[in-house]
Amino acid sequence: MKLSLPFRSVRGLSMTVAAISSLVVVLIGAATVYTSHEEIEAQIDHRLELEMEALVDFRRTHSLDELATLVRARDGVTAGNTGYLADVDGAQRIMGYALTDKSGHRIAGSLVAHMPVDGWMEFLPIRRPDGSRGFAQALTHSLPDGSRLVVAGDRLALDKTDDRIITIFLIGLAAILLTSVVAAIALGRLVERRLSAISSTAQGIIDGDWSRRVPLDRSGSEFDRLSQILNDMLDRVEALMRNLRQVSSDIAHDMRTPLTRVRQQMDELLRREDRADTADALRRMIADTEILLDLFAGLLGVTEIEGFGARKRFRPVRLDEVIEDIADTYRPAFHDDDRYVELRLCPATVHGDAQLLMRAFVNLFENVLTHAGPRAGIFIDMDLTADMAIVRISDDGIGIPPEKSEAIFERLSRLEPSRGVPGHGLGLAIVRAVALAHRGSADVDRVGRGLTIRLAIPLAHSPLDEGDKDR
Amino acid sequence: MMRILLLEDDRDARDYLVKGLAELGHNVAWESDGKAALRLILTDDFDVLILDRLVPGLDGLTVLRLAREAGCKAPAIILSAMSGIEDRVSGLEGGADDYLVKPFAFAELAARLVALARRLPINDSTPPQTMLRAGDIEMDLVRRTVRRSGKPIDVQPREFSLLEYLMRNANRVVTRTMLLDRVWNFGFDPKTNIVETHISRLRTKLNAGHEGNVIRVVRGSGYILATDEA
Repeated sequence: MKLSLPFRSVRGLSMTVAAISSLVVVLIGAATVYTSHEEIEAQIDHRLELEMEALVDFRRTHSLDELATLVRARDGVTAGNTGYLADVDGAQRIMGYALTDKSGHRIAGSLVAHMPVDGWMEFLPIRRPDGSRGFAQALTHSLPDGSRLVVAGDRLALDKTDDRIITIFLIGLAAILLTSVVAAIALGRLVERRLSAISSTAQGIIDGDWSRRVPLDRSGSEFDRLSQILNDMLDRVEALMRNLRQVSSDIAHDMRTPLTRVRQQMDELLRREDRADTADALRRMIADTEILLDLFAGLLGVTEIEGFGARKRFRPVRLDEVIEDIADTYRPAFHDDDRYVELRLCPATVHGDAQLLMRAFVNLFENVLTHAGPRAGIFIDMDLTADMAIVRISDDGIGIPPEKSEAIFERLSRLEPSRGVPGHGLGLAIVRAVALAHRGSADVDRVGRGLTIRLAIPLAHSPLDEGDKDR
Repeated sequence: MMRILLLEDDRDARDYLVKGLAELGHNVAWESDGKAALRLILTDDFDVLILDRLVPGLDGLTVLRLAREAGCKAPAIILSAMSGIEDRVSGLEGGADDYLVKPFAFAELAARLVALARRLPINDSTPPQTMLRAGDIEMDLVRRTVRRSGKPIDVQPREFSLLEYLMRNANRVVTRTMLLDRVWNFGFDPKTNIVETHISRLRTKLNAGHEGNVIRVVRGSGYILATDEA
């Protein structure tokens, strides 16, 4: 089932729940007010009817004057002759009376009102003894002798009850809204915290750090169980990856021993060889053997850097000085070929290993020299963000096909099909491994005229760095 | 002639090194076990120690550390089969004077041995040098100037360090990796020809107005700064 957008975020879901419960409270409140209002109104009507019946009955057996006396008595029993009688059992239900003779003359009762017509009148304007205006429910009856009797109940009690019920519901509504908002925020925070722990772990792994795991709080909550399962999965994947890497390392390692022996034996032969042509052949063989040995050494080197063992040696390193240094080393080689070397650096201290960073930049310069084509110059420019040093290494060479943007960072990747160009395709693999070891990244920034590689290395004392110390 | 201790358990590699070192006229004692090598170091007197890292008994680094603790001052080269950036750091921190990653050309080891042996006589009471001389080349280490036959030569900072290292090892073979290590401080082999580029620039500057070539290439090994008296 597809849910509409607000339900998908925790905050949206909590707000929706809060809104729905508020609506329900309002509906229940309205229904309660309505029913109680109707019920009380009916009760008042019933009382008025009973009262009216009693008084009409009284008139049947007594004279009008006696009725007037009774009405006056009823009217004056309690409220200190205010002419306004509190009902005996319901202190709040205030009743009022009016009695007129057949000529319409008021003979008893002090209900301040115009005499209404016979029957029910739901909203009879009255003036209370304290002078305030209000409405009353009134029942008017014409007696057989032409006199008329009004019995009225002040609606104030009803209004007060309504107000009281509404107040209670408003307080309830406020409480529900407050609880919902607090719960929504708390739930949102909780979920967000756990999810961001999971996603930062995932990001770390995407960035190549397989040692990252989702932190657990041992609470046994759903999040903890999910995190545990994710961690178990990561353990398994990491074991498989390590296995794979181990196999390739082992192959490289095992090939090196016999190759080394071959090389040594050729070296020995060369030392005692007098004939120039044989010596030359031996030198060529040694050179070829060395290419193989270099390749294996390079592969093992990438694996070693990817193992992140260097991290324990990390200390503050001036990245701009490392770049400057390598640029100085390469300037003559570039200038000899009519290539330019341009730098736009700013001081930046990163948390890292100088040797690895030097190696990465040596490879980047070599990459331009070897692969960017003749006359391709290099431009290095540097920016700082809050926690990263961003270095862009651009050349104006032949560039690469855009679809190869990722492939160039793979081991043994070579774009030249002829394989006539020197190198074994480990240069950028090492650059990326170095960046990952620094918890940074190396990517193709732009392809077009030439190639731009973007390197991001965390600055020393950045938040990333602090997080590292906790683990 | 130097008296050398070689700790190496791989028989082929050991034979190769022993044979090569003997050909250079050195006196070599070898061991294949760390403990035996340590015993030998402590009872005998060697000019140079060549220690492989991964050997039975005690590993090369531990042997060196224990020997150093016992007062052995002989310079030591650590050999490692690991590609080891990690190893290089721990090796040099562990008291080694040089570090060589296997496989290496024999010439590499030979050149490093000579460089090591040359460092031997320096002791703390020697006043720091301010001038270096090799043939008609003079180097002022304080003012950072270079003259040849009295005529000033303008060199870049990197060329200065390169020339200084060559002059300190005048008439001795200096390999490419030694230069990368000492002049560029690269603890890795960048597989590049930047050394060649810098040497050729420096050579052009030094040779200007002179007969012959002052920095010679030694085929398959490295470079040599040759002075006339040699």
